Amino acid sequence: MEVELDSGELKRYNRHLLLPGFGAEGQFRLFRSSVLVVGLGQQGSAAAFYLAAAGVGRLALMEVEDKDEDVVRFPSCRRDLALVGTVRDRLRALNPSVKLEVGQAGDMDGWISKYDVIASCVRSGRWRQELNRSCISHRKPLVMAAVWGWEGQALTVLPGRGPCWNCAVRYDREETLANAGGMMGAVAGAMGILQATEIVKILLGLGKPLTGRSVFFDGLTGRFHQAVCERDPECPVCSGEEGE
Amino acid sequence: MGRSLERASAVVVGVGGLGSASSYYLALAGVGRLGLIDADVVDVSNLQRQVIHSTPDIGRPKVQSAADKLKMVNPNLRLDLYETRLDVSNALSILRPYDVIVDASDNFATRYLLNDACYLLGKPLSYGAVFRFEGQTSLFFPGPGPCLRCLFPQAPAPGSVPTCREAGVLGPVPGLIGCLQALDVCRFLTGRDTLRGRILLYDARLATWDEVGLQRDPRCPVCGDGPRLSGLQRDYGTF
Repeated sequence: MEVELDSGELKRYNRHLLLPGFGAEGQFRLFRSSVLVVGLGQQGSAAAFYLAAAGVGRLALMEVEDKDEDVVRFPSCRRDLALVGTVRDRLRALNPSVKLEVGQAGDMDGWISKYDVIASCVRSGRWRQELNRSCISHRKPLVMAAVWGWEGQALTVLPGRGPCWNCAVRYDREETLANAGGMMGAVAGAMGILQATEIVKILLGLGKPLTGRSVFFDGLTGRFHQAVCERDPECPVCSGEEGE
Repeated sequence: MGRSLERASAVVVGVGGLGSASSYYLALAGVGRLGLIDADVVDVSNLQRQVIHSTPDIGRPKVQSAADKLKMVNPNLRLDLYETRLDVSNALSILRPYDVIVDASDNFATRYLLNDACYLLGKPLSYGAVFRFEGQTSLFFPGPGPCLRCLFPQAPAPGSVPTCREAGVLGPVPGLIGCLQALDVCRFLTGRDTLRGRILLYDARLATWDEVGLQRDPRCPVCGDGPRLSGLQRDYGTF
């Protein structure tokens, strides 16, 4: 593939261009890719910031959990860089060449079908299940991370090629603690940044995706551990899906 | 439980890829006083990973660009900006007022200077480093140990190890390490379990996190049983 980056792009993405297995071709692939980030708390905004900085071509932001429905909202708006408009403005300033869109929660299926990869950064288990189902039916890679207070868990779902969120998490908890303020903001941030990393890897076909295994993070001790998870042949969500 | 974060302070050395994340999450957590040290101005090549800065900030001092964003995160935050390069002449006086020092630098000269200065001042040092697709972090206690010199007694020869500028770095990797540093610093400040005595090794390509135990080295010039450092070296070299 012939790839030409202009001089501004050569400078901006220089640290990617130097990486083995990345180079101009990888950067160009990011330019032509699209990601939908669902949920814009600390986790989703962290994912969006690092995706925009990395040079993803199209980035859509979608907030599905409105204020009244939330179990816990951010402690104050001042601290909250995460509301859609604020995030969009800051992302635009960070990298003006990224095409930013604001997704309509009413048409989640329609939006999911238009993007290469979906990031689930929602707070409630119910929405995670919803996104998992929709991504499976549209055969879209889903990079999932859930945060419950000090704990985080992440898993990449590649439809037809490994377990889905429902296979991996039999009992998804509703969140009980804020996902935004205080020290726990960094737990949510760590998971969001991790999602951005996994998304870049998927878009580039680089390294090993976080599929067939879940990573768990305990913010109280700073420990990570992994657990293998397998596809459940009886899974009501993904058992009908065949591999490619 | 330890004291409140509002009355605690930290200083972030370098407002680049690591410092963009650590300063943001320290401010978000509610640390009361934060120092930022960086002599550089924002360059377009920073923006692939240094998300605290924006395109309109190109050419502005990094400490000022970061301060603008951090004030929005926490308007009550007391910010001290040091638009200077940390060196032998200023390190002890700049670092002295803070409870914890956060190494978010990109060169060995600064890392060893910080380690020795933290020993002389009796301060813990949050260590973070990234290279290509990998990152690592720990919390050092130079003196009681373990510290950077227990791990690597001497800095490598200048030019022998490529820097990010030469080797590249995957954008979100310093973000994750900086975020973990901020969390670790907050755990220390609130009396919780920290990364002291263990180093976390992250490989983004494989998505693996390994932990290796660290021990005080009895031969360490800072933490060891022999004669210990009595002052900073005259020169930490340039990298």
